[in-house]
Amino acid sequence: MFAYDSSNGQRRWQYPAESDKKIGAIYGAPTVSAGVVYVGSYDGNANTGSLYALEAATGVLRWQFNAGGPIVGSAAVSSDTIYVGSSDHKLYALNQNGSKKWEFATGNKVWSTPAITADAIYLTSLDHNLYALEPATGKLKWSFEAPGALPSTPVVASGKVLVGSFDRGFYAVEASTGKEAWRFGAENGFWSQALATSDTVYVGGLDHNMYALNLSTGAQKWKVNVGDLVRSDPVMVDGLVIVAAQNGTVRWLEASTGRQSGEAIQLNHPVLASLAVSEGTLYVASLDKLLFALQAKDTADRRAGSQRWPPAQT
Amino acid sequence: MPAEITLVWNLVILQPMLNFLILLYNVTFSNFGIAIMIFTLVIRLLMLPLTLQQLHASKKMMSIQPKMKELQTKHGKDREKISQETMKLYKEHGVNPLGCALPTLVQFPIWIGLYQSIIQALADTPDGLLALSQHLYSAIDQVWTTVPLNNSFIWLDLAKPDPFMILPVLVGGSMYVQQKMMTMPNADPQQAQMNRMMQTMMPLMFAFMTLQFASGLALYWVISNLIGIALQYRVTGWGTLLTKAPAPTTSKASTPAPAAGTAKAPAPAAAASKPVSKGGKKKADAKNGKKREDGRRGD
Repeated sequence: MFAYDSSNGQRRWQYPAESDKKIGAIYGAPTVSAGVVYVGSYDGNANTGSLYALEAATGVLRWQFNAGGPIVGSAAVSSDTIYVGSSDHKLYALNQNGSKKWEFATGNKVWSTPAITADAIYLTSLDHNLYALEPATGKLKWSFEAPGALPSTPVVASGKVLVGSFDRGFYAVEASTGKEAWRFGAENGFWSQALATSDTVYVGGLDHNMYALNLSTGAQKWKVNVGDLVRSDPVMVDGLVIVAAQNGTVRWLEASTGRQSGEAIQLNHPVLASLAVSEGTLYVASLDKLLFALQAKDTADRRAGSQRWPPAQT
Repeated sequence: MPAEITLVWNLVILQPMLNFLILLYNVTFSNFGIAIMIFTLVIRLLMLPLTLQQLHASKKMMSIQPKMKELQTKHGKDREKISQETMKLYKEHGVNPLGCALPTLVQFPIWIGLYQSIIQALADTPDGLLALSQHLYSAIDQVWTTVPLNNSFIWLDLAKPDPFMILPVLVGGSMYVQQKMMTMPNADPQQAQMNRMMQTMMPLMFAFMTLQFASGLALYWVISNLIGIALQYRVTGWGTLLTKAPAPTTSKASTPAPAAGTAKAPAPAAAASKPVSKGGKKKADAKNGKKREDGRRGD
């Protein structure tokens, strides 16, 4: 786990500080809340994983929670609780000191990040179910079963929970009842987290397409072939949907039409991680351990002032 | 591998096998262990004509080994003559030298595809599942609703090595038996030594690999070896499995020791052109410790 200074690209810290120590692979994006960075680890060999709480400023370990299996998703943080899913089929709710509040067992691996609202925690599992849980107790409110596994992180928008499935369906489920509102079918599964506005949901598919769907009906507004599967979560900046395909091509698409804005950028490095935007800069982490910084806004030269860590060898 | 070759490979070999395997998992009540067993059986059945052709060709080839040895002794370093006589020998006994190699070559891609499809279907990590999603047939709904597969089978997690090391023993043991059955006695001490080394090293190597690999793959190896043993038995019997391998003889250039299971050649030239009569063979068997041409004891 690394922290870089966004102004000058200098590395601030790394965890573990000793370069010969490893905590396993990190699949999920780090979650930052109240000066703490939460990051989950995936140790496939030992079939274990831990959630680490690190001081955002220094990288010093506050606490470590050992889950019963590798962690793939990110942690979700509410005012007093940290939620994290694990490959041991469970969702854990933790206190701010890392002690366990409660756990909820599903029938298969939990590879997504739970979605938090005031009324419920929404959780997907590879057991095909979307669960709604009481935030305080972890008690089941309702569950919705899809025909296929649910690897994607749910998004809550306009009273609907939006989830993608491996069965090639993208689902909108009523947040209060768990009833299916609509299903959109594609050529391959969905793993990417959707991006929702008041009337549209944008989601990347494993069938190499980026879709814009009507949030109320699920009707397709547009689709664009982006050349490779989309596992990375898209972001929106200034009316443009930014999407990265696995082959490392980053595109800026007009949210209303899907038309590509400007040239796509070929990073030539595979991208599966979520995109992040901060202060006009788009951050893209590649599978081969590189971090790119590009202009997020709609400018003619998106590579202007771009950076890469570690820098390319010249 | 160039992208075009990978594409063709995936289309023709990997994807049909992979989707078939996942469908099998569906019809075997989500039991991936049973699915792997049936999958291996089906693929081996489909390749049965090729396997049998190979086994028969191999048997024929081995049966003329003593005569070839005699040719080599007779013509010494005259490679051209040896080559001519060898071709004549092949013709006389109806041996096609490509008969062994061709079926093996044809089967080779199938083995690789079978291996790859089991590994891909066992996708246990997010990366593995992403890769798998790119090989599923869009026309078959069941494959999409089935993944990821449940990898539990008896005491095994099929995506991980066997914790009790039973499968490595089974893989090594079954491979040793098959190797022993396949190897025909050889009078050449160097060759015999090499055969013995192969009989030991290969099973040990595979048993060691099984310690590291997904047990689903080990299960496939065990089943495949057992089918191989059954087929080998059907064609050649137990081979040298139930007999003691002949001690390597120190051959002299002028009077080489005959290969086990062959008549002591009265004269090399005659042996090359005339098959040994039954009576002659019996006498030869007696002199050679009653070993038959196929390596089995005559008594």
